Amino acid sequence: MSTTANTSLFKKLLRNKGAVFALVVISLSLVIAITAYWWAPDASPNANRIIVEIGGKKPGFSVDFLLVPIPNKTIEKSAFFGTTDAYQYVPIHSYQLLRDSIVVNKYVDDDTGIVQKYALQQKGGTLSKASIVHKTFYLGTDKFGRDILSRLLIGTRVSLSVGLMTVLVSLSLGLFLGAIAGYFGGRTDAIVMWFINVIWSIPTLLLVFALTLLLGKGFWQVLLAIGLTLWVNIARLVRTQMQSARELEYVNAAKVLGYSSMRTIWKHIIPNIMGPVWVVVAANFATAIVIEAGLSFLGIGVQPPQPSWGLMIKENYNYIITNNPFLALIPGFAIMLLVLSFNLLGNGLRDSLDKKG
Amino acid sequence: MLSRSPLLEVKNYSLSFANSPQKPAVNCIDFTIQTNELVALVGESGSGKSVTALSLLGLLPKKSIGKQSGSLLYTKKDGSQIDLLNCDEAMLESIRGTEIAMVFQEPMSSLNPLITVGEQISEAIRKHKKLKSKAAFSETVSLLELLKIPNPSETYYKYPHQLSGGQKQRIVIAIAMCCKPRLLICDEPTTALDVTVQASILETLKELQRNTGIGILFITHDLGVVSEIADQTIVLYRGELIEKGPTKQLLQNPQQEYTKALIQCRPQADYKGRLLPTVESILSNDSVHNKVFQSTASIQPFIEIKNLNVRFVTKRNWLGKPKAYYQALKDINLTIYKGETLGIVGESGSGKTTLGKALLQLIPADSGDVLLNGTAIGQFSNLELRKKLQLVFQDPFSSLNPSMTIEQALTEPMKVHGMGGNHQERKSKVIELLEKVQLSKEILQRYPHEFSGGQRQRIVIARALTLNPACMVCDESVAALDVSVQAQVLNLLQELKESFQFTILFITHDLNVVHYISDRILVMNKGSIVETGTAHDVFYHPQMPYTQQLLSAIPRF
Repeated sequence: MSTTANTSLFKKLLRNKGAVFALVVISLSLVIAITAYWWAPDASPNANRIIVEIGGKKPGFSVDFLLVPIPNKTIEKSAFFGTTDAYQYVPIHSYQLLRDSIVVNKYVDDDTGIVQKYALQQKGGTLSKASIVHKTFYLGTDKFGRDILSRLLIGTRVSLSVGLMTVLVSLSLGLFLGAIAGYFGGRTDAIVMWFINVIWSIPTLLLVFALTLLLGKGFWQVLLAIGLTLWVNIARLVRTQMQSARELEYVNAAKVLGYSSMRTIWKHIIPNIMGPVWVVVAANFATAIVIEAGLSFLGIGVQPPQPSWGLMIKENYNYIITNNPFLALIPGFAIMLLVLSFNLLGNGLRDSLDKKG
Repeated sequence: MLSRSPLLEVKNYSLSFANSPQKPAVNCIDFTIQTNELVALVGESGSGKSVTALSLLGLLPKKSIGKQSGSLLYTKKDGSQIDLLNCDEAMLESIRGTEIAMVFQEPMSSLNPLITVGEQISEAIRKHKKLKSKAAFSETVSLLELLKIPNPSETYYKYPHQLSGGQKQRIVIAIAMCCKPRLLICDEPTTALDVTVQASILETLKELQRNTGIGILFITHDLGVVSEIADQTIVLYRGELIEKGPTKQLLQNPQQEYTKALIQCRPQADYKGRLLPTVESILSNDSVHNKVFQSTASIQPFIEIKNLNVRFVTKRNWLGKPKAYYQALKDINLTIYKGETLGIVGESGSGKTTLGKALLQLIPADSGDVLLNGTAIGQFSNLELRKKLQLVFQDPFSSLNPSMTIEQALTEPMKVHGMGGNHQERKSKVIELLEKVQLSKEILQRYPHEFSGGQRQRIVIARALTLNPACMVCDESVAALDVSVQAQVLNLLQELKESFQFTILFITHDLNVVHYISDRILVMNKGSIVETGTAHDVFYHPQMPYTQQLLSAIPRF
């Protein structure tokens, strides 16, 4: 796309309400994904501060904590990957500060507590009045007592990077194979199409199962597996676009001017057919997020304690029919919002690229 | 006819589009069409001729229309007069087809490829006349007879792809005529057809008009066509009505400068070897067109083609082995001399484009040799060959990459061929060439879509010149251009040829153009060479019957 075409495309996109909404949500989640640990109330790596006493609390739950230093703990501080906790968080109903010790009514349930005594001089440091902090869990806690809000924020990172990485993998593979199949035709086309049809005929989820079994469980394996399944529709699109572009006179002109096939493909055809490809890329982004959530839900995707939205649903979906449906609904809603945004962006792109529009 | 009022009366009609309200597309035009009269609307692209026709039937998208004024008075079958401008959609729908019908340029896209042509005609008849299928069938057949389609009852069951372009256009006219409209609007109906086919369709249309007494509004850019068939002619230029009157009078004694220019800038026989006048040069009273070109033709053979055969596979068996072929070129023997302009002329399917492509090695030859300066063409590397032979395409709109600036498009060939030391050197060479094709260096940063067809064709020529080729193949390079622009490009090609000394292979279907520009002419038909000779001999003393037939089909006045 040329610069002039790009600016007018962007202007058209801004006239589309759905696309503007999508762009706002996507940029917001991108900012959140990068700066997640700055905002997260629980900034420990993977927001994995387990406090079993306060498991499964409703949104807005708040309680006091006594921070007991953990002895001989190496603390890793990182604004990007989180900071390891230096304290043990002890939830309390009330406390009493004595001369050499602190007596707390440790939180067990809303009405019950256990009286416990901590010496002020601990191995890792001293306890004082400053060791008592008040914390509010705006979106509640999961069954391990972890903060849902923090996990949700950090989970954005998983969803977006899954989308981004799979798009990179599928785009490069799809562009390359689709381009050579469409441009050269004949035998090359037959081989690539055979390969595409084989991949196409296997249900996506099954293929991801197979690849995860082969490559093992984990974040990077999931990325690669989803990327390797999504290149197919990009390749098919690029191939058909290539076939019609191949007949255009400026492609013939490139041939007559003595340009090599690769130069013709990458410099002259690809830039002109990327419009519809971006639409599919946006749709792929959404699909990748959904597949990742599904895989994580099934337990073969992102592995705990890494907070993935799909994993959060899996951990909390029992609560949907019991007392605390929000625990699973909130990550579900987050998935929906992000997927919707990418689909709206795709629709907006398609409408803007439509010359009649 | 009982009523005295004309069939169609356009009064003070103006129209501007919503995206440019200041510049009206059609500005205060007046004309009338009587029954049993053929009126031609002539103009170049952007003159407003098609816009006028489309607005008669209310076919312009409502959103795009800015302002309309004046009136379009049409007299219906029952004698009542209505203003087509103030009709509601229901009224217009009842008029379309039954009162006013329309025929478009491209016959293939106006026919449904999945339904037999007879069925398409009889469907229209059944719908409008509420006839039983048997009666509709016989009516269809008689309509096909009226339009001179051979074997009407057999053609009834054919699909559009089984018919030739001319026959398809006849079918489209038959569909338009099936409800006996009183006004037929034809928008460039013969532009996409070969001259011989065009001549026969024009004849049929004229006869149809005489026999049925309908009025025809015929839109065209070709004054030759106008002279053949029109009773009245209206000349439009940039939305303004320039001149109107009886065709003969208007063509022989034009009153307005623009009409004169339009008539003169066509490559006529007596301009051979001289600069063509263009609309600009005539309007500004420039007399440069007296310049005479010297022929640069030599007797030194440059390209020799020996027994060249090109076949296309039309059928393969299930293993992919070819079973049937289409012989596109049959035993072509040809010598092109250094510095000459060789015109290759023929109808569509004659193999003229295939010959050009085979010469440029864009399609593989089956057998035969092509020698370039005495060396077999296969001995040259791809880059060497491309530096020697360059191509100027037909469609200037698609032969430039839309996403590259002119600077990128023009410096790239030199970069690939390793010419010019650095970008700055290449850029200055490009600026030099742009000046040669009469474009300024200000355009370097612009994109192709910002240019008109003529400007783009010049850019394409400049791009071919960057490699300093010894031979330029021009494949229908002026076919898509307006006559005035065509004259400019033809002049430019000859000027460039004088200063760069290259050989031109000029492929075209237009006999006037080929006679004007060529030293020698080669007439092709069905993949073989019919006749070769000097331009003068072929044009004035054709030996072969096919050439004679071609020449007699050119509309002249």
